[in-house]
Amino acid sequence: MGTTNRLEAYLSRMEKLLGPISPSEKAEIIMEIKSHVMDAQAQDQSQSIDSVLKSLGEPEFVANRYLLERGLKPKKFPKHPILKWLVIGFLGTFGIIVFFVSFVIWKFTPLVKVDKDNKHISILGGTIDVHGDFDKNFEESLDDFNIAIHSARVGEDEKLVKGLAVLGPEVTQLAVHFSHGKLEVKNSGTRELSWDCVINKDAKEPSSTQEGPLYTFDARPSVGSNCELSIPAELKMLLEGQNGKIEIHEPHNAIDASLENGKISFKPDGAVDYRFNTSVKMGATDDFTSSSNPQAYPINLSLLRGKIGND
Amino acid sequence: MGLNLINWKTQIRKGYLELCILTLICAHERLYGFDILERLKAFALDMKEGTLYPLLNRMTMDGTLSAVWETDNVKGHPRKFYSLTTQGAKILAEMQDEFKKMAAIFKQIEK
Repeated sequence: MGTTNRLEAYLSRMEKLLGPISPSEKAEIIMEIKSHVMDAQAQDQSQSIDSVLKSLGEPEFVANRYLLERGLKPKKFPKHPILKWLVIGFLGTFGIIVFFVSFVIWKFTPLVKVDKDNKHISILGGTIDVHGDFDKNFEESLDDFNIAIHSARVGEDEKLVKGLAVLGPEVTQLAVHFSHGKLEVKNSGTRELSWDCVINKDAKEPSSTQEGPLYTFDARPSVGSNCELSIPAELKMLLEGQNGKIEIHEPHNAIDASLENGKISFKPDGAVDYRFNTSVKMGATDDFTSSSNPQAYPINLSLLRGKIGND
Repeated sequence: MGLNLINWKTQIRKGYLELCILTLICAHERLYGFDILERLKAFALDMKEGTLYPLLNRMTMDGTLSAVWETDNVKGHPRKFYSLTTQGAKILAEMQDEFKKMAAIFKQIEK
């Protein structure tokens, strides 16, 4: 930092620290200090700017003297400001960790519950359930354990149903039906169709069947289901529901989606072209931009009552 | 006791230095800050620069001193020159009287 820069930095800091003093008086004070520095350097040219400024005193000291002489309250400056911020940072991080741990303990109590009679271990309040014969050797028994990992979205009266099907090349259409609940559809990037459904504990599980080129996933018996489906690309999709929500994420499919009451959300893949046809009898629809590309995927979204959104 | 002595010296210097500064200015009619510091140094009365300027500023605001900016054609940069006001001259006279009284009393106590 050159001489001028160091002096300017000193004066700039001091000006800030003079706080409540009027701007014109501050300007005079700064000018006088600057004049002193120039006199000091003119008297002894071998003296460095740092030495002159050190002789004057820290800007905090000088500014506070001006304030004190005027009967104003001088500012207090921490001796080690970096230390102050380090302490604040540490306490803040510690506080966040304590909050997080407290939340986890509250949410997942009991953390571990062993039921030897029923050969069942419940971990993190039932998020992970382990069933098996604990007396066996660990390596032998690993395959015998059934470990169910529950999504955080599974309530006490609900259960998680998962499934997977590898669709052959003959399958060109996929139909998904549900009555009440939520259906979320996204691209699997493979020929695998997988589902992850939270349904009522007493409800019938969804079923899947194949008839020629048509594969059907039927969640209608599981009233109030919340299903996430990963679907293969290029299949022609039929999504049909009565009440609830259909969410479609970045598909690479032609889609016919219909819902009686609720919301259809469509999030397009920016790298793909679509041709939209939306229809809402009673409600609203967001704007969708259709492509003129003849290869664009046709997307037909139909809703009786509710909203079709592009979020 | 060591700390009390330092404190006492600080207190007594404070008043004494103000008296010396005003006396110097009176003797030379007008002086600027750096000049005041050099003259005090010559009398072995070192004063921290960061203390003098705020003091001069206060004495200007309370009417003891008046200040004028002047630019020396030779040296180039502007300087703030201080001189005693009429009120300042009265204050100085009182301070000098008080100081002389205190010195006389102390001499008598010493005896």
